[in-house]
Amino acid sequence: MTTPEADNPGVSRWNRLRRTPLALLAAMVMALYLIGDQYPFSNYPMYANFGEQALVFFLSDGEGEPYAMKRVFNKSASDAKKIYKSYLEDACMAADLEENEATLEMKRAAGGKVLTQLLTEHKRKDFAEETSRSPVLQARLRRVWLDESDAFHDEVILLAEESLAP
Amino acid sequence: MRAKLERLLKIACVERWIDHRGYELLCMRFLFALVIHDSVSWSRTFSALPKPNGLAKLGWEPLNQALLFFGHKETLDVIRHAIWVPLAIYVAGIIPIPAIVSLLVVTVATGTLENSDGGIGHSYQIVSLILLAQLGSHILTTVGERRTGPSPWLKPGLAAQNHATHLAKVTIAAAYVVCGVSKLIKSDFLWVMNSPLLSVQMTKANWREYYNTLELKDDFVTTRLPQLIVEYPNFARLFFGAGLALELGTLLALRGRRWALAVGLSLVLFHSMLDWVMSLTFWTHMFCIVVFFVNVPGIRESLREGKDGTTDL
Repeated sequence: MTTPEADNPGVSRWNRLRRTPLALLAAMVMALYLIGDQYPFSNYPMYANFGEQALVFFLSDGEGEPYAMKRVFNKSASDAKKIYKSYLEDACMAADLEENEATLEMKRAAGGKVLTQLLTEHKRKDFAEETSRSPVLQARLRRVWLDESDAFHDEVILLAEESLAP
Repeated sequence: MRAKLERLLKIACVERWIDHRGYELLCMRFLFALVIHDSVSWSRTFSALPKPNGLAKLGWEPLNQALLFFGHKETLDVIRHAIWVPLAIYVAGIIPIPAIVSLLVVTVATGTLENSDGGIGHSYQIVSLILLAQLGSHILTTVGERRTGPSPWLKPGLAAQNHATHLAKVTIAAAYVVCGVSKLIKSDFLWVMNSPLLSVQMTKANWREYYNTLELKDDFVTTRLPQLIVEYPNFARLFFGAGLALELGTLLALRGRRWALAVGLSLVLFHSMLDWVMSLTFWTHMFCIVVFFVNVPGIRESLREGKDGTTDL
């Protein structure tokens, strides 16, 4: 080990930091936690708290047959679900409700917003070709949950539908 | 008990600023430059900020317009090629401050646009955070420089480059530790107890991957693993608890070369397992770990490192 000040005398202020091991790390951890998810900062809350159910957002044709999300839009099913949840959170906050108290209308409104956002901002080049089999595009939500007897269940609900007519 | 705790703290609270050789630092900068280029979504365009995040949340219209400038296809097409200039300067280790500032502008602007779309991702913050830390390091070493000769902001010495590299490692460690801390606090310290419920998240991940590609997987992870976790919850707690301990223990990577190598390889294994069971591929994090912790060109020195941090090469 060499001493940095031998090579660079101007780094003496770093030496003070060096004498307190992990001080900078502790400060960074605290700052990241308190600032939260404000790019480029984050406290990485993914999978920090999870319940007995999970949601998957997907797209389908008019018959409910799914489209491969990554071939249709430049957003993944995970991105779309996060966008959906952020709109639903806004709606719940405005109505002074918990997220698990959201009504079907609120869920459908949030799903409709996601569908509109995907169609206006994130269509892939060959979107028309990929979705040509149906005149409509539907947003659906699959809910997966574990019941008290440790059995898995799932259900699908239709959230929104948009016409693809030119 | 108190003596044991003090001993544990003494073991954990060690931070060794490693003096890497010039070729190691060059290799780190080169590989990290590739990570920076790969971290920008060059094909995603944005014309609005529906859910402002980060700088966009300030609500200052000229700033928002400047951010949206980085969401235009034409801008991204130009920057995609032009960014190689500051990247090359960064790799060369000269005039780091302007080079890092320009890289930060691009990564923060594109990342802010991505996260202002409603869905907050966590794949690329690490790149901007490392750049921010390295910028801070170079500014402080430049301000503190009193020596005559070549100006340090033009060509920082080996010590200054090592400081910047150490801060990159501290940043990576802080990101992992805060991830573990979030798990503990947000779950009321019940994360390990609740971890068998991750079986639901695994089932969700299987569906999510199916809806992304329409490729149906019929393997052990999709058909058996979620049910096995429910049937053997304590085994799941042990497995996921080890992952949480690893996240919180990432600070040990700052103890020296050998620890950085061991923690780095463990984290790569951890991410590979996460990719296998939950299709969560944090490639950027994995590459940053390989670049700064595993440090492939320095593995020989890491293995020969003595207890006092010296190497006998």
